[in-house]
Parts: sequence; C-alpha cells; structure tokens
Amino acid sequence: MTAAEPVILPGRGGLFGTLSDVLWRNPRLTLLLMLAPPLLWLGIIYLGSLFALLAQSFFSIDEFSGLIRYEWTLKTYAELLRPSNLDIIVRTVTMAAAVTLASAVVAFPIAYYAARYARGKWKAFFYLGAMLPLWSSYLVKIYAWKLILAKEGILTWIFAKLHLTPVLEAWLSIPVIGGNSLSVSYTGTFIVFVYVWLPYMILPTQAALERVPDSMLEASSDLGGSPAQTFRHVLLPLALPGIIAGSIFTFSLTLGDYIIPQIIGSSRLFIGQAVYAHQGTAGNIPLAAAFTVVPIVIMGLYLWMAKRQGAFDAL
Amino acid sequence: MPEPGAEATRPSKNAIELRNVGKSFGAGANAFFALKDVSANIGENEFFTLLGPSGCGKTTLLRCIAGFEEPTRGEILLYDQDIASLPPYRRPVNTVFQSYALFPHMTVGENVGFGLQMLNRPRDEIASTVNEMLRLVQMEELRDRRTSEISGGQQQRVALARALAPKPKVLLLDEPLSALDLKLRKEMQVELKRLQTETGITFIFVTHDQEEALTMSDRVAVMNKGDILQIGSPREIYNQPKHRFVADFIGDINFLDAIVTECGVTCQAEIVDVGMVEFLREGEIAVGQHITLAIRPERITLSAQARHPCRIENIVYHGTDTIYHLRLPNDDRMLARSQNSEGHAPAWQTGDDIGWAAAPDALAVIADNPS
Repeated sequence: MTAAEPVILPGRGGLFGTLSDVLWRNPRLTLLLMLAPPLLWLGIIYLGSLFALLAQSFFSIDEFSGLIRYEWTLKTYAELLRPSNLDIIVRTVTMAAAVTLASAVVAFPIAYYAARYARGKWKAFFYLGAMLPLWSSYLVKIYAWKLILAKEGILTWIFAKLHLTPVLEAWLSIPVIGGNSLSVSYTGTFIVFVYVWLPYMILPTQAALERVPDSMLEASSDLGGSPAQTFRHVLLPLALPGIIAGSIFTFSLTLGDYIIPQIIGSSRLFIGQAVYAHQGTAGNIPLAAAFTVVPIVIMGLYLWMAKRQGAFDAL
Repeated sequence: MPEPGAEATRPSKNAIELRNVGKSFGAGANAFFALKDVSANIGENEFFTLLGPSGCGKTTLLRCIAGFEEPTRGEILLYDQDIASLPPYRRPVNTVFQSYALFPHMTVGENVGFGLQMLNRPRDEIASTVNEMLRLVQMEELRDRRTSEISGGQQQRVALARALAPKPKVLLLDEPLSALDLKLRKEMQVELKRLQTETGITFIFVTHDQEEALTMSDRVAVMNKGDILQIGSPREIYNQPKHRFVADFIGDINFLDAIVTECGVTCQAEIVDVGMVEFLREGEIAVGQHITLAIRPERITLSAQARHPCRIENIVYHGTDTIYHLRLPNDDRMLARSQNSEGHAPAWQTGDDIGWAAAPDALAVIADNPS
C-alpha cells in the first residue's frame, strides 16, 4: 500500500453529507427532529383546544342577557345534574354500554374465525368485509339504514313475509326501546350504532386472537379444560386487551356521536346532540363544554376500571 | 448380541396400546399419510421414546395420544380403554409442549394449579399440590412470579410441574429440551429421568436427538415416514439395528455388502475384494444370499497385522477419541474410531496401509430395505 492511498472512505460531501454524519453520530437529535412537528401539533392545536374547552366549562352563562360570564364557577356543572340533562347523560351512557356489549358479542365469533381458521383468500375476504363499511360515506350508510328500518322498509316486509309481524309489533310496543317503527325507536338507533362501529371492535379483537398460539388452547384442554372453561380461563383473558381496545372505540364513538340519533331514533337527545344544540342555536358554550367533559371523564373511569380488573395483564 | 432379559424388565401391564394407528391429512390424491400403520405397547412406568427425523410422524402420534388429532384409523388403548376419539380434556394424559405454552396471564403457581382448577378440585388441595409440584422441580421460591419473568430453563420446569400436577396416567413430552442450551439440556435429561422414577408415571418422550433417546429411555421406537421401524432398548437399537435407516440414523455406522458363503452357528460371508468376515446368525439366512452387514466405527480394531487391508485417508482428532477414515480395496470408505488413552500418540499417519478386523458379534445383519 502506498502512503498516498487514503484509508478512510471519503465523505458524501455537500450540506446533506455533513448533516448525515452529524445525525448518525447523534441519534437523539434525529429523534427530536422527527418528533418535534407532530408533538408541536399535538401540544398546541389538540391539547390547546382541549384545555380551552375545559376552561369554558368553568364559566357560566348569564340567563338574562345570554352572554358568557368569564368567572370561575361550578355552576355549569351543577346544571349538568338537572334531571333533564342527567337523563341525556344516562341515556347516552346506557346506549354506549349496550352498543359496546353487543359489538363485542357479534365481533368475537367473526374475529375468532378470521384469526384461527381463515387463510389465504378467505383472510383477504375477511379484511375486505370488515373494512368495506368504513370506506363508504357515513351519512349514506345511515340513510340506507333509515330506509331499511322504516315502517315501509324491507325489514317490516321480511317480518310480514315470515308471518312474524306480531313479534315486531310486540317489540315496538315495549316502552322506551319501542316506538312507531324501528327507524324512530332506540332499537333502531342501537342497531345502526352496532353496525357502524362493528369494524372497530372486530379488528382489534382479531389482532388479539391472532396472537394467542394454538398450543395455549391445546394446553388448556390437555389439562382438563372443557371448551367452556378454556374460553373462560384462557381465550377470553388473552383476547381481553383486544376487546378492551375495541370497546374504547365503540364506547367513545357512541358517546360522542350526534348524527345517528338525530336521523334514526326518537327525538330525545344524546350527549352529542346536546353539545351541538348548546353551542349552536342556544349559544350556551359553557354547558356544551361541560357536556363534552362527561365522555372524557367516563372514558377515564372506564380505562381505570379495566386496568384494575387486570384487562391489560396479558399484554 | 441379544440382550438377555432386556424384554423381561418390561412391566407386564400396558399403559398405552397402539393398534394399527393411521392418520392422514387431506383427501384423495393429495392425502398425506402422517402415520401409516403404527402398533406398539407402552408399559406402565416406562420411559418410552419416539425417535425420528422431523416429519417422521412422531409428533403426530403424540398428538393422537394427547387427543389433539383424531387418528383416521386404529385404536389407542389407555389401560385397555379406547380413547382414540375422546376429547383431550377427558383423557388422564398431560403434555409438556415444545413451546411450553405457559399461560402468560397467570403466575407460576396459577399455571401449575390450572389442571386441578379445571377438574374443580378443592382450593386447599390445589394449593398443597402446587407447592408439592414446585418443590419437585425446585421452583418453590418463584411461585408468585409471572411466567414472562423467568428464564427458559425455569419455564421448562414450570411446564413439567403443570403437566404433572393433575397426576396423569401418562405424561407426553414433545421435544421439551430442544430450546435449551447444551449444558442445561444435559441437566434436564438427568432431572427428567429422576422425575419419572420418583413419580412412577409413564413417560412418552418425543425427540429427534439420538443421544437424548439413548441416554434416557427404557425403550426407544425409531420412526421414519409414518412407521415405527424398530422398538427396543437403547442397547438393542444401537447394537442390533434391524433396519438400514435405524442403523444410519443413530450414530455413525459402516455398511458392508456381502454374500453368505457358509452358515452354521456363526456364518461366513464374503465381501468382494475385501475378504471373508464372520458374524452371528440371526433369523433366516441362506448360503448365497446377498446381505448387508453393519458395524459401528468403535467396534473395528485396527492393527498392522489385522487380516483385512485398508489405507488411512484421514485422521480426525476428537478429544476423547480419534476417527480414522479408511479406504478398502474395493474402494468403499469405512470409519473406525479408537479411544484416546493417556499419552497415546497416533500410531499411524495418513496414507499408511494397515489392517482392520471385527469380532463376529460386532456385525449386525440389516434387512435389505433401502429407504
């Protein structure tokens, strides 16, 4: 080797070459540069507006002038506890819980099939089937359901053809969940909620089930676990993180939705509609803000309880 | 040499009887026969090993006994009762899985107690059995740990304790040591043997490791392509392989093609261009028959005066012994192994012409069935 021959490979040159060298030597700097824009976005735009909203809920409205009084008070929260407002909260939370429970029950067998049996094109078919509803417009789907559930709709027709009209009528005559037709009853709202949020429950449940090795289920039955015991003691606990993840979607999306109950269901309000009404026509921003805080608090409580129950232990 | 009493040590009672068990996957022309026609008796308290290369059907057979697969045909008797179509949870048979399959959402103690919990045993009985089992595998102090917080070797012990806790009639072990490093594996081999003796439970052990099979088992069944080729004690399997595959799969061996020239109490056969060898008569052998003789490298004696000439092509030092690669006059290769004794320097060098000999009982007659 001659002395003139360089041993070190030449730099890439230019500004980018120098920058590459610096970034390679300082991985923390690289990380900072990558994370700064999204963190700024999250910190300022998202959290900023959230805190602005929170702050609004501690103001109150002057009942005579309709103007907002910028003084710290819990008066608006007291207003939340009025029977009419409390009704809205209870109604929404009950609906969200029912929708979540039903979604979990409907999603589980589908997810189980997809995770344990579907292979090749059937797996592709599953993903397509689960996600297809997410690709079409939300409003179109809801209006489609309005037609299906209407008194003159296909469901009423099917019930008539099967000579089951009395069953439908008996159901609709049940107070609270019944009504004139499915499209103006809570039952209708419930059905559409379950339909619209189902993919959000199926996909995480399927992902969780996919991670449960076959040998785990075999071990359970090998040790004397009947299918019911295996489900209760092994499969369900291991799938629970996925089901909880799905329920976070279905629960919070139902808590906040204001379109579905407006188009399908009775005229009684849900939280989303109340927020919409108060911040719009009524101009009662503080009450709207206080209503918005309710789902946040409920979700917080829900996750805390799920954690305490050990729902995330298998993660 | 037939082992006197090798069969006699077998217990009279059968824990498991396999009768013409067959298992195929798929149907029609695409059908794959994982098990063809397997019959075997596994005695009570026996350490029985299924040995074979991957894909030989040993794991399928184990899964049929456990109940994860239903045999396409045949019977599996557990103490004279056919269990072939029972679901796994109704069989008093437990499995140690290759992947251990410990439940990640439970502690070590809960894992061990799972089987008893499934059988709805009283709480205090579960607690005392769990402690007893953890003591048996020396894991008492880890009872409240998560299974993800313990090492692979410890997980192995927990899996063993979990499978032993319900006191199964038969314990199935599916290559349980394959994930452990060599030293730990040797330790666990001794440990498994101790557990089997202490608990008196029948063990059916699946492995592809011939050394593991030889060191631990009371009897070994060598499998290939969905069939059991030979069942016998480790000594029989090693010294009297009946099958070319069995001989070849376990350890090193030399095959010699020969023609029988004389057969009385001992027989003579001629290896073309090599010479006459003497071997013990076994089964029906006729003069003029073409046979294959098998001999282990360590049963070959090398000396300058021995009657059959050979040339040393290579000498490989192995620490405890030395392997000589030999070339015979008929151009066949042969391996010979000699133990290295203290201060023993190799007597020969590569290229030396020497001689080899074999005692009559060192030569095993192989049924000629190339597979």
